[in-house]
Amino acid sequence: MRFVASADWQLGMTAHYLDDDARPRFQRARLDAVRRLGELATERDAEFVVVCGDVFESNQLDRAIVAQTFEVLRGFSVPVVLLPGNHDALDAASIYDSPAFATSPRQVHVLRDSHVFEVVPGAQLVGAPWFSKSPQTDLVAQACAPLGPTPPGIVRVLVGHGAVSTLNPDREAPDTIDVAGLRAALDAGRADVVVLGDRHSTIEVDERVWYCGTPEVTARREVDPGNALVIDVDPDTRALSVEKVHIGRWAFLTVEETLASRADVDELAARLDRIASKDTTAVWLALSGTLDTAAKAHLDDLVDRAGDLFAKLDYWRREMHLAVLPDENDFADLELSGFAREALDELVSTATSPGPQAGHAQDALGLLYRFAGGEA
Amino acid sequence: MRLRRIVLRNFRGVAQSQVEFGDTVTVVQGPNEVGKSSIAEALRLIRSEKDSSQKGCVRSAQPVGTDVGPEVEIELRSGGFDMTYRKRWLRSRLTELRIRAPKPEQLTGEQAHARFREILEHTVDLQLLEALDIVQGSSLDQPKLAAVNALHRALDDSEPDGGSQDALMARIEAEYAKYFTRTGKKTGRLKELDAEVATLEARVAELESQSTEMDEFTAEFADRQSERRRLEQELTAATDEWRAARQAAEQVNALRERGEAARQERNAAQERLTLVRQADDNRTGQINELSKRTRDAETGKTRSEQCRGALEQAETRLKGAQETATALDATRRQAHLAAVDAQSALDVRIARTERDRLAAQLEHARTAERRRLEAAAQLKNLTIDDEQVSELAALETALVVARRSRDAAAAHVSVRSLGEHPITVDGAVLPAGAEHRCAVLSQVHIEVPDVVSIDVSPGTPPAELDRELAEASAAVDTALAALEVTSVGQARELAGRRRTAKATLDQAQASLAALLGSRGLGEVEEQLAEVTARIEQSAAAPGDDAPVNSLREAAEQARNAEEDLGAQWDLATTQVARYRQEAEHAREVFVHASAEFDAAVRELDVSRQLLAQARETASDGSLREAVEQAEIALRAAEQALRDADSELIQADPDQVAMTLANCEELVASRKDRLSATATRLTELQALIDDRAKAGIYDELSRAKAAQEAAAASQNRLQRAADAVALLRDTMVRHRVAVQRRYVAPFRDHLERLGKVVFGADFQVEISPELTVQSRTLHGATVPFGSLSAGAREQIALLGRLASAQLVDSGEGAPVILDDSLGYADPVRLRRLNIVLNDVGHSAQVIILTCQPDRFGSIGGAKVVQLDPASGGAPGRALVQGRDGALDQGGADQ
Repeated sequence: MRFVASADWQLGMTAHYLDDDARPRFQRARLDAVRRLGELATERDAEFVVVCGDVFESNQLDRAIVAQTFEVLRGFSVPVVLLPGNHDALDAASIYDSPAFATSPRQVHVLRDSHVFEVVPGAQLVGAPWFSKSPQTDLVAQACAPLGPTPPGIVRVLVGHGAVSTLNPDREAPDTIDVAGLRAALDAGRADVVVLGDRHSTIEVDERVWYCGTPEVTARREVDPGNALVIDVDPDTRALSVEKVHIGRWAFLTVEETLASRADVDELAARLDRIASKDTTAVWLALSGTLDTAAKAHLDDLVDRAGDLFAKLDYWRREMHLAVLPDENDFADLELSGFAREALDELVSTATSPGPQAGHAQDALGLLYRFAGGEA
Repeated sequence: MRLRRIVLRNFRGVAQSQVEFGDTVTVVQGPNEVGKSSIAEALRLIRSEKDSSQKGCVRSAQPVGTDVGPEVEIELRSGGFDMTYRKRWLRSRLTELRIRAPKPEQLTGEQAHARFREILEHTVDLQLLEALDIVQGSSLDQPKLAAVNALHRALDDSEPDGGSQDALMARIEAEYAKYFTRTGKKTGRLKELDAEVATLEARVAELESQSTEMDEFTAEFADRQSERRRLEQELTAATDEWRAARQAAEQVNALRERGEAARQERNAAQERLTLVRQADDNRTGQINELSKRTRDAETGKTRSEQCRGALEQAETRLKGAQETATALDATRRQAHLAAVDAQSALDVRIARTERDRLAAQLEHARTAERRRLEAAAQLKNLTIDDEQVSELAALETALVVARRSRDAAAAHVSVRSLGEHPITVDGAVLPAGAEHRCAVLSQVHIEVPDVVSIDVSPGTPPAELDRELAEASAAVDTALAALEVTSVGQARELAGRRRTAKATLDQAQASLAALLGSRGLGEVEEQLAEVTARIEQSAAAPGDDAPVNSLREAAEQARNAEEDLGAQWDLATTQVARYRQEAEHAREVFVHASAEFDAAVRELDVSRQLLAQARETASDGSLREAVEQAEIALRAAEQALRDADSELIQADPDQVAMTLANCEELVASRKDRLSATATRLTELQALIDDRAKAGIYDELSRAKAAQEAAAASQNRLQRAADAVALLRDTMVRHRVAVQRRYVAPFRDHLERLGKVVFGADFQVEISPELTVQSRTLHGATVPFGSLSAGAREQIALLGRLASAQLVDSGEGAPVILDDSLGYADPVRLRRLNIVLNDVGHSAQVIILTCQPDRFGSIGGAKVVQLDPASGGAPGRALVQGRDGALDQGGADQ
C-alpha cells in the first residue's frame, strides 16, 4: 500500500516581506506545489494522498482560495484526504464548513472526526482533527485510544497535527503529542505509521513517526522544507518504507558575510550571482564587519542592482552588524578646511563611538563624502 | 605698505604736485580742485591700470584740452621692499619700477607692472587696500571686510576657503530642503510617508482587531457549544426531577381532596344536626308557648275582672262626691247673701255717723268763714302798719332832738315858788315848792298874781338850729299828713288795731284749714249731700241704731261663714274632678285589659292549632330521636376529617410544593439559558460567516505588505533625512563657531575705538561677514541701517580703522580718507582725531581734506598743504611739523 503524505500546505498564505512582484508568484507557487504532489502520486502509483493539517493558512481567508484549491485537486487521480489543523481548525469559522466547500471534488475527503476512514480498500485512516486553535489534550492519543489492533491485510495510518513531545520545547503544553504513547500504540499494532503536520521541515521523529513538512517553503527559519513523503506499507509484513521527495521550487536564504573591504563586497556579489533561480529565491543579508564609506556605497549599489533579480534581497536589519567608517583616505583628497574640517572631525568621532548617533553620523559622512566631491 | 611720497604730473588739473607722507597720520589739506582727490585716484590707477590702458578712468586723468600723458610716481615701502614706481598713460606711456631694497632692481614696461603687482600681492592685501580706501561719497558704506584675507588671518589662522565651502553648504542645504522646511519641520515625501504609515498602521490595527474579533467569536462559539451541551444535560436531569416532584404533588393533591371531602361531610353533618336541633327546639318552643299563652289568657281574664271592679268602685265614688258638691253649692250661696246683708247694714250705720260729723264740721267752717271775712274787711281799712309808725316815731325823735338842740341854745327859765304866793307861768300855776324850768323860746309869761308879772322873751335863736327844727317839724307834719293822722299816738293806735285784725284773720284761716283741709267748703257740702243720699237710698232700716261694732261683728261672721263654705265647695269640686279622672283611667285600664284578654285568647287558639298541626307532621319523640342520630353522625364525620388532615400533614405538602416549584423554575431557567445560548450561537455563526466572507486574512496581508513597504521607505528616507540633518547641523554649528571666533577680536577692537568716540558703554553686534549689525549705546540697540548718517559714517570708519590696526603691520595697507567725516559734529570729530592718531601708530593714515578743521586735532599728524596757485608747480607742497595742527594757519600761505 503506497501513498503520499504531505502537510502544512498553508494555502492562501502571503509573504508580505517579499517584493511586490514576487508576492503573487509566491502565492501561486503554493498551489503549484500541490499540483506537483498530485503528479507525484500518479507517477509513483500512490493509492491516495493524505495532508496532515494546515491545508489552509487561515480560517479567515478569502474563500476564493477554496475554489482555486479544488481546481488543482480535481486533477488528482487518487483520493485526497485533508486533516484540519490549528490554522484551519474545525471551529465555527472553519473554512471546511464554508459554502465554497460544499462543492468539493469527489476525491476530496476531510477527516472531521477520529472514526476509522477507509480511504481505499485496504487502507484505513484515523485522523485527529483540530476543533479549536488550542485543544486541551493530546488529540492524537485521544484518537488512538479506542483503536483495536489493525485487521490483517489492512494498512492503518494515524494522521495528526501538532508538536511532539520529543521536539516541543514546551513539554507541559496539554496538546503535546506524546511520542512514547505513539510508539506503544504502534507496537501494539493499532496503526502502522503516524504522519504528522505542524513542523514545516521534514523530520523523522521515529522511524514510524514522521513530520511531512511543507511542500513549499514558508519562512526563512525552516531547515528542510519543500518535501513530500512517499510511504509504502506492506499490509502483510507491516514493513515500512518512507521516501522523502523534494518538490518545492522556492528558497529562502540567509547570507551571512563578514566584510572588511571593497574586495569582500565583490566576493559577496559573486556569491549572490552564483545563486540559481533568483526569481524564486529570497535572500536576507546578515552582514558584519567594517567598511569604509566608499566600500559601503559600493555595497549599497550592489544590493540595489541585485535586488531586481531576486524575489527579495535585503539586509536583515536585526542581524546587520556592519559599521561604516570613513577611511583616512576618503576625505583626504577633498581638501576640506576650516569649519568643514572641524565638522568632519566631529562626525568621524561620533561615527566611531558607540552610541545611537553612530549610524546617523556614518550616514552623514557618506553624504559629506558625496557632496564634497568624493563620489565616483 | 607705507607710502612715502607721491608725485603727480599732468594729472587732471595738476601740472605737477608732490606730496610726502608721514609714517603715521598725514593730513593733506587744500581747497577743492587742488588735486586732493587726484592723489587717491592716482594711487588707484597706478596700481591697477597698465600704461596701455585706455579706460575712461585713465582718460579722465588727462588734463582737459591737453595732449600730454598723465603721470604718477610713488615711492613706497612694502614688506621689506623699498621702491619707486612710475607710470604714464596715453602719451609717451611708460612704466618704471626702481627697487632699492632688499636688492636693487630696475624694471620697465610690462615687467615693471607685473613685478609691482607681484610685490604688492605678496606684501599687502589688495582687498584690504580697497576696503580701507574711503572714496569721496562712499563713507557711509561699511567696508566688505569678510573678503579680506589678511583680516581673516589676523582674526583667525584658518583659511576662509570661501568658494568651495559655499558650494558644499549649498548642496547640503538643497539636500536638507528635500526633507525639511526652513523651520526644521518634515516636508515632502518624508512627511507624506509619515501620514501614509500612520494610515496603513491604523488599517492594519483595524484588520487585526477584526481578525481577533473573529477569533474571539469562534472561541466563544466553542464555549457556547459546550455550554449548550452542559445545559441540555442539566435540563434532562431537571426534567426528571420535575416529573418525580409532580407525582408527589399529585399524591398530595389527592390527599388534600380527600380531606376536603371529609370536611364537607363534617360540615353537612353539622348542618343537619343544627337543622334537627332547630326543629326540636322549635317544638319545645311551641309547647312552651302554648302553656305560656294559656297562662296569659288566664291572667288576662283575672285582670279584666279586677279592672271592671275598680271601675265600678271609682264611678260610685264619683257620684257621691258630685252629690256632696251640689249640696255645698246651695249652702254657699245662702251664706253669701247673708254676708251681703250684714255688710249693707254696717255700711248704712257708718254713713250716718259720717253725715253727722260732716254737718257739724260744716257748721264750724261756716262760722270761721264769717270771722275771716270780717277781719279781712277791717284789715282793708287799717292801712298804717308798725313800720310806718316806726318811721314816724323816728321823724318825731329827730324833731325832738332838733328842738332840744335849739332849746339848749336858747335861754332857760327856772321858776320856783318859794312861799305861798301862787305863781303862774303862762297861766299855769306853779305848785309851791315846785320848780318850773323851761327854755325861752317864745315869750314866757310869769306872774305872781298881784305881786309881779314877768315876761321873758327869747332872744334871737341860732338860724341853723331853727332851720333844722323847722325841717324836722315839716317832716313830721308831712308824715302825719300822709298817714292821715294827727299824731304819732294816733298812728300808733291805728297800727295796733291793724295788728289785732290781722291776728283774727289768721286765726279764722287756721280754723278753716283745720276743718276742711284742702277741700273747699263746697266739697264738704257735696260730700254731705252724697252721704245723705246714700243713707236715704239704703234698704236698711233707717232707724236701726244698733251700734257699729255689733254690726261690724255680724258682717264679719257672715263673711267668714261664706268663706268656709266656699272652701268646702272647692274641696268637693276638686275631689269630683279627681274621682272622675280615676274613673276614666279605670275605664281605660279595663278596656285595655279586656282587649289583651281577647288577644291572648286568640293567640292561644292559634298556638294550639299550630302545635296540633306540627304534631300531626312529627311527633315530639321522633324529633328527639333525629337529634340524637345527627349528633352521632357528626362525631363520625369529625373523626374522618381529623384522619384525612393528619394524613395530609404527614405527606408534607409544603415541601412537595416547594420542590415542584423549584424543579419547574430550574427547568424554565435551563430552557431559558438554552434558548439564550442557542440564540447566541446563531448570532455568533452569523457574525462569523459574515466575517469569513470578508477575507480578513488576505486584507490583512495586503495591508501589512503595504504598511511594511511604506515603513521601509519611511525608514530609508528618515535615515537619509537624519543624515543630512546631522551633517547640516554639524556644519552650521562649526561655521558659526568659527565666525564667532574671528568676529570677537574684531568686535573688541571696534568697540575699543568706538568707546573713545561714543562713550564707555558703546557696543556693537558684528555679523559673521564682519559688518556691524547694530549699535548699542546707553542701553538702546539700533540697527546699523537705522542710525543717523553721522553715526553710520563714524562706525564704518571705525570698522576700517579696526581692520587696519588688526592686520599684521607688515601686511597692512594705508587707510585713505578722502574728504570724509562730513557728517560728524565737532565733539565727535575731536574724539575721532584722537582715534585716528592712535591708529596712526600702527597703520599709515592718509587724510585728504578741504576742511582742515576736521582733522586739526590729530596730535601726531603730518600736515601737507596743497596750494591752489601752485597747482602746476612741483615741490610746492609744504611739509609741516608733527604738530602741524598748531601751524595750520601758516600752512595756508
